[in-house]
Amino acid sequence: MVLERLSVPGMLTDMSERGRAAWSRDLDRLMTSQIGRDPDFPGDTPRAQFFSALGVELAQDATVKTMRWGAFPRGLTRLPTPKRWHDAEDRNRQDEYCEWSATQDGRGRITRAFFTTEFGAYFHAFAHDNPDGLLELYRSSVSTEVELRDLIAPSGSYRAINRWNLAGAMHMIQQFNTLSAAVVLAAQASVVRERAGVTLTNAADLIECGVTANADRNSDPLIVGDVNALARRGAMVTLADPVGIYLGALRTEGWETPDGADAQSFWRVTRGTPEHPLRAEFAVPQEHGYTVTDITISGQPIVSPSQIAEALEVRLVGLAHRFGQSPVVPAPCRRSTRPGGPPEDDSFSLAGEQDFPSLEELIAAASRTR
Amino acid sequence: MFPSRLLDLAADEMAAGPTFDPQRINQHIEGRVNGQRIMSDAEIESLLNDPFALLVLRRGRFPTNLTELLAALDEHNDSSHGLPDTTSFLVSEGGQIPFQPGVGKGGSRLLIVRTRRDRSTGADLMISVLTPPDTSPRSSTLLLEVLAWDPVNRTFHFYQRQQGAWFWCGQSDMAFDDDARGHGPFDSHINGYPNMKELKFPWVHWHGPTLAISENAYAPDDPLVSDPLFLDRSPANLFEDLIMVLVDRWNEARFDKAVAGHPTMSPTNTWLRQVVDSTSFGLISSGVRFATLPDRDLNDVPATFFVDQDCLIDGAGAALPVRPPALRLSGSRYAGLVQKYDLRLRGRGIDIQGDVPFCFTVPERAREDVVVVRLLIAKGVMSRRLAACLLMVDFANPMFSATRASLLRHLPDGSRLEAGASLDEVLVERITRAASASPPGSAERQFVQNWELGPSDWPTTFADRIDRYLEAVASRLQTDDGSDEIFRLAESRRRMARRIPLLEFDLTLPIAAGIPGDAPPLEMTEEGTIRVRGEAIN
Repeated sequence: MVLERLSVPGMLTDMSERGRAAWSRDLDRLMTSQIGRDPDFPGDTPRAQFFSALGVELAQDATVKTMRWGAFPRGLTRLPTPKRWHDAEDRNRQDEYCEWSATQDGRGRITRAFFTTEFGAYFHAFAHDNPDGLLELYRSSVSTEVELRDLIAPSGSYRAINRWNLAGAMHMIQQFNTLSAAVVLAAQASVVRERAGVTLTNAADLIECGVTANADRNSDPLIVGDVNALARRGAMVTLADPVGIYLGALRTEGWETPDGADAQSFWRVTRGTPEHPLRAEFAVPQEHGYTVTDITISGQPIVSPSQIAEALEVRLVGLAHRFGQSPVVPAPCRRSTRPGGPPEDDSFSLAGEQDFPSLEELIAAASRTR
Repeated sequence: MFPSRLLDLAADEMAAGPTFDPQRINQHIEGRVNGQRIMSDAEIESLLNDPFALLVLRRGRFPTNLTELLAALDEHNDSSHGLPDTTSFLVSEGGQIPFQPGVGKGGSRLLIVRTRRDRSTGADLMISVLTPPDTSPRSSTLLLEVLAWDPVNRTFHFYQRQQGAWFWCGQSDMAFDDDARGHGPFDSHINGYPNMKELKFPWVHWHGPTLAISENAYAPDDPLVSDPLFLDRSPANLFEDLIMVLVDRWNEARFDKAVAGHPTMSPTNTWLRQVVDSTSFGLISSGVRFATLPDRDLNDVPATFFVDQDCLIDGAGAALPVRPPALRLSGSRYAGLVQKYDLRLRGRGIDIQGDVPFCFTVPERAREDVVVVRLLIAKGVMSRRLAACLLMVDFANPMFSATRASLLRHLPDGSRLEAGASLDEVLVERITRAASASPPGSAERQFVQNWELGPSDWPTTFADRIDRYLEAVASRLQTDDGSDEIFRLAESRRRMARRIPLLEFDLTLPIAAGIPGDAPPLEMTEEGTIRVRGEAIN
């Protein structure tokens, strides 16, 4: 079966037919720009084993590879609690393709925690296609006080970093949590590389030899390693449709509620499908008469949404086919010209004071990283 | 996570009649007299209510290999009690050493975890297969081990297939039985907990996000590398998440059984020894790969090697307001020490100079000891202050402190755990009484000095001491002498860890061949200097 359109993340229905068609077109352009055949984007390495699934008939041996990792930033895991939880509340530090925030009551107790894996690029497209729908989504998801002017600048462009997004984690805004980052990572990882005649198999080596990624995250090295392993088997690789980062399981074993209710029942997917959840909330229904902070994890009350993130998985699904049919010609090791990930100090910021980039801008930016 | 030693099935050869039957569930409790026999139906029904027993063995299915075992489980995938979700993991001490014909480096352990479809709870069943080179993990000749949770009896059961028969080798509770403790599964599951020595980033020796165990570690035609469980293996960080939940699961069950008066689990000393002593250990490393030396510096020398961060500083422990400094060691200095002390990977046909894949791999407090400290505080068995005063005795040696462990003798005979009953009163009174007759610097005198800080000043005073100590360590890591001493201390603690059966394979840790085998063990001082262990008191 040939895929006639690249779906929007989570099979969302926010946008019009025209908007979804445009998304498919733009995403295909982003994917194909990474192959290295487009004369507008003469990449440093042809990526003959990467493809866009649009219009492709998958071979019989097509298989998916689910890559799962923890939402909590790896770089903070060695800190003691509660410091690591509070540090991780900073959206700048939420660099594992998942972001969160929480609302509190007057006593500082958590009432709702929001988790999202949605890309800013999608919201740009959404705002362009259906601004009223965007406003309605913000109002139903974060606050009824949201006004369109909070979301759309006078120029007509979407304000990705707006106060409601900061308060309610409507979509991701950390500078590396972008669609293009995921696509470029997968594309770069599809290149089999060698150093001193030895084929590289470790993410750490691949990152030193041409893949723009941060080895100190959970997500980047995992994606690099798993995609490259498929490529080494002579397969064509891409990201599975619908391309997106998705929430995985929330492990609630050991969580204790004041009334013995199953804490899992307080986890509610609010965007996407059960198979492709993009956004979820953790909140205690009013009839229970207590807050999230009254729930304990291993005896510790939930004082930060980061504690929930520590039990949350995130996933990305790769797709490969035609195993053994793509000639594997290892590329030489190239030192990355641009270090991946945040600088070592804490001075980096959300995606700039300017607005978060749209998919169009991401395509252009993605081409520059190659 | 499993011991991979064979059961001593010959031990009961003198017993009358057959002691095992391939078509029955057999019992073999290592260390127990007459511990091997065919189990009766009544025993099976009351003892074995885990998914492996319920879905497989009790239905008369006795799988002879991994394929059959997985197929037997798959038959229940659509039922409410089925475990359809399969995740595989791989650990191999030689996993970062490329294959070379004729060079043996031991096998690989494949772990298969089965969970419910939504994975909202931890694992209920784990399978371990130790796979030698050039062998399919599905071979009937391999040792198959199963760990499974029994929700009725609230315990983990340990099973093993050997000589064509399945044996129940015991349950977590038996880790505290005099005859079974330290034997069979309990030589590694020392207190009955599931374990993962390399629990934290960078999960040295595991297939992980940064360092994969890839096909180039094996012969091109090794059946393992084409097995779907290898091809779809998951990174170790996901196994860490699973193990953390399972450790807590047994900890809670164990505590409930103890306060209910369980004969072998309620004695307080079985709990307190996990507070003041090191009954087990974990392994922690810098995230810097040895292969990148000397270009990369070790900017993340593990703090838990120097102080019990998980129990003293973490909010779930004593919550001391410590501000740990970054502990850094230059890559060239570490590489120089590797040369100077001839650090080597030695064992299983390998003898090469160098470190394990990640630098500065050292023992740290085992997760199962950490959760005990936290649970005893949370349940009111001891106050934060008591925990802190105990752990601040010889605090510069978070592992293997004979000084701190000696405090265990002050528990009254016959003391039993009670929920909410603070140990403070009895322990403080008895240690204080013993202190006057003990020499300067003794554990008792240190404890009394700590306790006398009073109910309000102890957190800041302890935190100040740790801050000063860690600053001294950070400074010493920047000097030749200091880093040399700390390197030798690391080797000394690794040698102590090697004595615990949990450390199964020679290649798990490097050995500093340049330090004599009979070199006396070392310990750290509060000033950040190193001395021979026990020197201060002797």
